[in-house]
Amino acid sequence: MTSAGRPDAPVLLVTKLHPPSVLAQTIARERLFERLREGRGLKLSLVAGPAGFGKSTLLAAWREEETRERPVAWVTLDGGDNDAIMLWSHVIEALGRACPALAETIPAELVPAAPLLEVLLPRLVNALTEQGEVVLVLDDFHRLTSAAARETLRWFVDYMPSTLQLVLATRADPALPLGALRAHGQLLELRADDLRFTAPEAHEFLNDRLGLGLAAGDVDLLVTRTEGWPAGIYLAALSLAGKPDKAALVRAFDGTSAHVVDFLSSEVLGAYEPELQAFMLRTSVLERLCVPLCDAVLDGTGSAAALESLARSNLFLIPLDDQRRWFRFHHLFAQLLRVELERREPALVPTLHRRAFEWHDEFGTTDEAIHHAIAAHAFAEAGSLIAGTWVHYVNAGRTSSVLDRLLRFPEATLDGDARLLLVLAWISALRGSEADMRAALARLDRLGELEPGPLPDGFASLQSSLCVLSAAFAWGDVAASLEAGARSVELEGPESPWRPVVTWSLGWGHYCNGDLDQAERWLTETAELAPPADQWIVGTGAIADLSLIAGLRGRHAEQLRLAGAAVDQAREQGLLEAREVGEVHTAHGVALAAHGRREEALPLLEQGVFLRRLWGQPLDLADGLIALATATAGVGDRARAAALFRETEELLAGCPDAGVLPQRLAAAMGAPVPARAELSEREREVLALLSSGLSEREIGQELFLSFNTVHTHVKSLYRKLGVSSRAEAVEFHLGETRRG
Amino acid sequence: MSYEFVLRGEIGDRFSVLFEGMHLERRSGLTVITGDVHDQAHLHGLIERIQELGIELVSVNPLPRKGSV
Repeated sequence: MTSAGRPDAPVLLVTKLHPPSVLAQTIARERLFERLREGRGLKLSLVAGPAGFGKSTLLAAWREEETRERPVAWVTLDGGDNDAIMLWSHVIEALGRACPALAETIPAELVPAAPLLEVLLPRLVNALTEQGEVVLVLDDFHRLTSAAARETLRWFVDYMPSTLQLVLATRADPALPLGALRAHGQLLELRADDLRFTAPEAHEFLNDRLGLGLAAGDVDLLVTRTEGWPAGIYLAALSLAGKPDKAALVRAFDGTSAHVVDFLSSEVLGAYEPELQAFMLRTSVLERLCVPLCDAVLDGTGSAAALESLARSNLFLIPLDDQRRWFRFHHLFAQLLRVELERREPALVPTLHRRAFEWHDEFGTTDEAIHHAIAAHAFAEAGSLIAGTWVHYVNAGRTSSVLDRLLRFPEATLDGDARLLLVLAWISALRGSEADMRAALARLDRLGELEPGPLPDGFASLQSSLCVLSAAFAWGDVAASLEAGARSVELEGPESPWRPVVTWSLGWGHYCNGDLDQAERWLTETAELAPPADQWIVGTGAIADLSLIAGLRGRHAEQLRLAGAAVDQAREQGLLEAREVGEVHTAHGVALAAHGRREEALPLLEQGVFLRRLWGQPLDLADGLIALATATAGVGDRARAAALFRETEELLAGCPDAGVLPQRLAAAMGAPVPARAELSEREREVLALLSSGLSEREIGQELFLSFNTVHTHVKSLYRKLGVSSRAEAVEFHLGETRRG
Repeated sequence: MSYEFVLRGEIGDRFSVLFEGMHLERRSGLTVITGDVHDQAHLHGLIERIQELGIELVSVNPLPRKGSV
């Protein structure tokens, strides 16, 4: 479970949903617009070509014309979209802006909580089917590199309705079955050769729009020399602006064997005043620019004038919003600038990144702050930002964003930073990977003694974060989870923001252990503490767990009321389809079944199991499976019920300590209740010391455990042995020792 | 492992910062860059940088290890 609920929707960069502005200088390439319209009704429209082939410009100009016919949604992809949650948040937000009806059926806030392939995308496809014709442009598609994010898109292409025209602009062919689409006439392709400027287009651009007054022969020479490469022609135009003898430059260009980029990049910069040159070079480290940010990075005050002048004269500076507050350099141009910056002022680059980091940190744009801190090799600062904000990313469903960032740290830096290793462990656990979590903890272990003192994410100490992690994620070991929970109660005080996570862990552990009184006490506390602390995941889970307990105790009216309350709270908090609280659906299903409403219960129990599989905690899943199998047997589907029971048996057999779940399973199967669970090693130690006559407090001193922890072990071993007093337990122990 | 990248067009030394520690050679309308590539990530990074500049990549070849038989 995570610290807070889900008030933190992913932070959407609005500028990404804004197509590049169509400037007065842009020519309308009607022959290509016509081709794009041919993509209507086809599976895929692909605009593929290397950098600088005018893909975005073409599509932005086409979009302006096309919006008169049908809505056009636009997303410019970037590295952040490799987190599939971000990708689809942006796509759904963009579609909602283009078609208001869609925004109502499928709000973007839904994305972080709902499993993508299983819930969200099918729902999006249904909503689009109801919607009329619409175009979706995904620009810079090549920046989508993660296999997981691409997989979601491939699924979408398979199932989307033909009323949607999906246009991908990319430098590299996407990993989609292009051959098959082509063979079935389902693919529209505009490739580099289609995108090259023809001589008439170059003439219109250079002379009619830019007013360069070039002779027809010189235009032809430029087209030949650049092979119609739009960026090359535009670089030439920038170099030519203000040159008195334009023909001479064109001839010099034609006469050299130097690469277009090589020849023109020196010419282009040379066409600007030295101050503007410095401005462009130094701000080229930024992904996006605005006046205050540029001032900060340059440590000066002249950015407003420089940006205004460039925005007027340079098509490579692209406005990102209507107010012209944010801009970015065209990727290719930015790259040329970065090369030149590296050549002229290499020592300055880390300083520039550091200033960008400081500005973004102050401004509150944490994502970019972390990016620049890492680029400036300011790993200490980047680490502090991540340590302080990871919980917000998690609550926005962005665990993979945090993971990607951490993987960019040098191994040695990570290995020296206990806070970050702990974040890595939490993220791994939340993603359901026990192996990755254990690997991170092993690295933490090598650091030796953990420093005391509070952490920026609200934990009382590193030790405490580690302890709460072990309590919240049992990985099939109830005793270990309860032991960690007992220590966590002492480490995280009653005022801690993590307190509800601790109390939930204890409540859930006791529930698995069959100690329903204790479980109720802790879960009731959780349900009360969670809302003021914004801890909606554990808060909602606790209400569902309380409903399950009421059911076990035969209080069926209360059971149904609590299940309803859990569902309501999950819905209000956008958690209804979140994998973290699959027990809500299980509890709802079990409560309905207890009231004889089996038909309604089954789909809910299926949904509970489905979500709990994703969450990846064995005991949590077993709880859901037992409920589903019981209801399945109840409606007479013996084969399915047997398979589910078998799966649960295997799952529990792999758990180090499954508490009373094996007994619950046996009871559900109508089988004889199996022998009590084996004692854990720790419980055996405690039992041996009990038999030697020590008090629980003395045993604690002997084993370096708290009184609470020892007490927990004692209760657990009583339960496992089926005894109710120390005398009986000692008797059992002595008997066992005698037997040898 | 040493690699050879062949690019179309003659590219000046200004771009050598992008190919740190590698050797640039120009001949008859081509640029040949040779040098050590540490791993797959490094290799893909280099190719991406060439792409970003709009420069056409003609070929990428691993070079035989020096002294190998």
